[in-house]
Amino acid sequence: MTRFTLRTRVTTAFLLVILVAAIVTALVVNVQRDSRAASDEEARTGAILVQHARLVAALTTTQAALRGYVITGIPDELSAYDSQRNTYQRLLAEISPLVRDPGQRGRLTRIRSSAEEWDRRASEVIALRSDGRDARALVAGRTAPQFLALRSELDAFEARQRILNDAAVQRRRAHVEYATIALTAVPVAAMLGVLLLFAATHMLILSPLAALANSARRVAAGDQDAPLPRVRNDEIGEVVEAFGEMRSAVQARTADLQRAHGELMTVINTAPAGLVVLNADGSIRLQNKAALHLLGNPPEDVEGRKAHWERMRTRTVTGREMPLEHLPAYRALAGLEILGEEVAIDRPDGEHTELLIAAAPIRDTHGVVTGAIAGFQDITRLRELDRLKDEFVAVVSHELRTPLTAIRGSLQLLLADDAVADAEHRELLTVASSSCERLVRIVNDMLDLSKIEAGRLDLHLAPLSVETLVHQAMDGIRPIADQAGVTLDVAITDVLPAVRADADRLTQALVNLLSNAMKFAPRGSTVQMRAEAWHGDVVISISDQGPGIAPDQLPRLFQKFRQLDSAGTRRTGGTGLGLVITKALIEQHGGTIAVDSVVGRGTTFIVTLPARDVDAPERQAAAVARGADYRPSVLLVGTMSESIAALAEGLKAAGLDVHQIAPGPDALELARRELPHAIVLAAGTDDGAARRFAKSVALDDAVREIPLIIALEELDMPRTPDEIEPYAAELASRIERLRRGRGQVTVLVAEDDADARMILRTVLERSGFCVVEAADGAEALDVAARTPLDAVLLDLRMPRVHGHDVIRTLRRNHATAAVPIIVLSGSHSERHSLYALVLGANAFIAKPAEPQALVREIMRIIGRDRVQ
Amino acid sequence: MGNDDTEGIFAIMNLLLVDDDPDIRLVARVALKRAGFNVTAVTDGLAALEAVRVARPDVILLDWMMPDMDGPAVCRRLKSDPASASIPVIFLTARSRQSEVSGGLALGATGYIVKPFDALTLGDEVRRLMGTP
Repeated sequence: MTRFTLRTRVTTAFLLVILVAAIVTALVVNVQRDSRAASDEEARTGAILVQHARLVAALTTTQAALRGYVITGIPDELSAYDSQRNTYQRLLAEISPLVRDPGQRGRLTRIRSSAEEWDRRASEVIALRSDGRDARALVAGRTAPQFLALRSELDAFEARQRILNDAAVQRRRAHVEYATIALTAVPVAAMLGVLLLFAATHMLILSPLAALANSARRVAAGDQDAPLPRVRNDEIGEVVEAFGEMRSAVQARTADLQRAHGELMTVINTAPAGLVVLNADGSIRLQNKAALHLLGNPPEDVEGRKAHWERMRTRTVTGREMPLEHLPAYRALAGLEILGEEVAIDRPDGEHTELLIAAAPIRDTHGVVTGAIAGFQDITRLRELDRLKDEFVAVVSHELRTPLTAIRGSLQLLLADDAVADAEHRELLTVASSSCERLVRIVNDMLDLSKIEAGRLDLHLAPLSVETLVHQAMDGIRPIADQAGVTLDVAITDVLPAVRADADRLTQALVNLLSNAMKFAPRGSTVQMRAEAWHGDVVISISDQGPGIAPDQLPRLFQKFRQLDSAGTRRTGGTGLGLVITKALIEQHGGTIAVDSVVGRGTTFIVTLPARDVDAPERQAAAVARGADYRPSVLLVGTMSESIAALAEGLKAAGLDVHQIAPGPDALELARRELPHAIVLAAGTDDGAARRFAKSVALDDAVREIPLIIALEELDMPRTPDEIEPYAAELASRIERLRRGRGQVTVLVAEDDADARMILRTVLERSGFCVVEAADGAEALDVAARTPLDAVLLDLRMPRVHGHDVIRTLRRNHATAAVPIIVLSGSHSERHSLYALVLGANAFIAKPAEPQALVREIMRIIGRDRVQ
Repeated sequence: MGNDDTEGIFAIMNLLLVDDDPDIRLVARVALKRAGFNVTAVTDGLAALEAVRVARPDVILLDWMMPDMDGPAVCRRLKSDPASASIPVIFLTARSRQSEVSGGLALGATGYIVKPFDALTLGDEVRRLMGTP
């Protein structure tokens, strides 16, 4: 299909306009020329008339002169005649070229021959007269008629010439009028041309574009069926076509999206789990049918829904009130990911629902939280079944107790009585009795476990002496130990801090562990119980010299009814629940239990209990004191001499912590251990030992980052006592400057205890770090999101967001994934700290942290990262 | 039974045992008799109240769970009657829930013994709870 391109059309329009202009110009020129010609013609005919008049006058005069001469005979008259005759003949000759009209030319010829005839006759008359004869009659008879004939010829000529002249005048006038009209036509034509061009532009370009824009706007506004402008055979037509194609494509894609969305909504709506998507402001963006159902069909409108939510009461599954904003979905808005949390909800309609909720933040490409998604599942029935199970176990155990009491009592009383004398009978009764004892223990353990699992184990926590607990447990197990021929050994290594515990329950746990050890301890071996203080916790370990546990069996150790089959087990009637209960009891106390076993050597259970923070204030005060004492440190390396000693004294006086040592491997070792802020190496010009030391520092990853200042003995080292003080001061300020250079290292101190935070800030700032603080987990995340950090010091037990969640979030976030995290492990258990390492923390330091150790640890971790 | 005699007139106490389970009644009676108690056993709460009215015991061993009138109800009745309010009541319970134990003590009970009890030390336990050696 050929296209009449816009270019062709526009060019055509322009050419057309130019053509019109040319035609108009030619017309005007032509009219002008005609007008001029008419003018000339008028002048010519006018000139002929003038010449004619003069000719007639000359002829008349000539005739008069002839007559005068003939009558008078005076020669003067004759000369007058001759001159007049010359005049008219000249005029006659002159008029001839002016005449162009053929009729007139004929007349002129006739006039000329008439005139010649007249002249010839006049000449005869004159000749007669000259002879003296009277020629008057001749004049009257010969020339006068001829003259009259000539005159009539001339009159005819004149009459005709006048007509011609009038015609010429008419023509000229007409032409002048044409010219005027033509000149007026030029601007009119120009205006018309411009109008034509404008019309063409409008029709060809502007109007279709406006129509297209209009259609586009209607399509954009959602009117997918808006009519498109008529498709024309040009570029605009192409644009319209392209727009139409685009609209179809968009419509197709929209349809695809709608279908996909519909499918997704169907999937979401048919999913049995509730699903709610929140906007960043907490309003609901989307919720599926299951969610509506589970939450008691909140109204559709925002206000109604808000009211609905506000009437909702949430509790933890253990019954503790939980503010609505603590729901996992809202916590996810704060950037946390909640893998699964059980929440009990009292709905406004009075229904009670228990939900298992998982929630995660939704982030945009920049990592900013733009909303949250929460998925939840109705676990009311599950929980109910769980409760029924617990109840069942409790009831069964309870129902078992009464007959057990009777059996046990009867057997005891029978055995206590001497009435049964027969040895075999006694043996049978003993078997029955011990089996009954075992049954009692199982029932008791099952009851304990069901209580623990139902969260109904009430602990009566009180400050307890660990020594007392250990001895109570030992006393409880001693009869069995004696019977089994096992020696008990108690080792309490430190003065132990008190623990906060339930005396009965903790003793039960320890007795369980001891009786477990007893089961495996060979006769004659020793079961040892040790208690010691470790990083503010109390660690109690119970070791036997039994067969040990194979590594593949270890995971089953704390599972219900999973007694490990191993050779040499003394079957003393375990219930298979002892360790499970023990673990649960210890964890209820905030402690941990771990096991360490070597096959053939024995097994050690390690219980770690958080020490009660009775002496926390004292410890903090001590830390403050240490913090205040903290000074920048320098390692002065140089063979001991008077000047070195003087310099060391000078540096100390300048406020530095100075270690002095001779160059060598020991010096390097000391540097690695102390990680001073600077190393000053006093060296002679040809000092091999100093050079080797400098080289070893440069090659050692642990210390290469420490600034090394070389003091040349010949040049720098002070010689006289009064030179020492300024030199030391200068050196001290140089070290201080170097130390301040660490200001680029920004450390976040996340710690909820204001005092502890202050101490850490003081210590770190004195050490040249730049410190930012956070008083809880949420604040820590907030700061981490805003501030580029080089390291994070993190307390785990913090309000709002737990340290574990902080680590999780930091590690998941791209910007903070690599930031070193040092966990401040406080009086709580090692388990939490270890878990923090699992989550991605780099190290942990026991609280209260030694300033030197803290700085060292930070430098070590940052330094290591730098090396990498 | 010379032993009983030598332990003295002071040691012989009248004990009222209230339990709906005949086996428990038997075992406890034997155990307590051996421990030197003079035991009267009844099977329910009403009988217990009647027994208290007729023969004032020195101590009452009261089962928690019984048909018709349960242990706490009996205890409440005994403690609300000035005539019997001063008699020590010891609960015998198969449950060891903290709430029940403290609930029992709140009713004015002297103590509780959890089933299954140790038949050989039951008497000693009762004496210990009563504060008599």
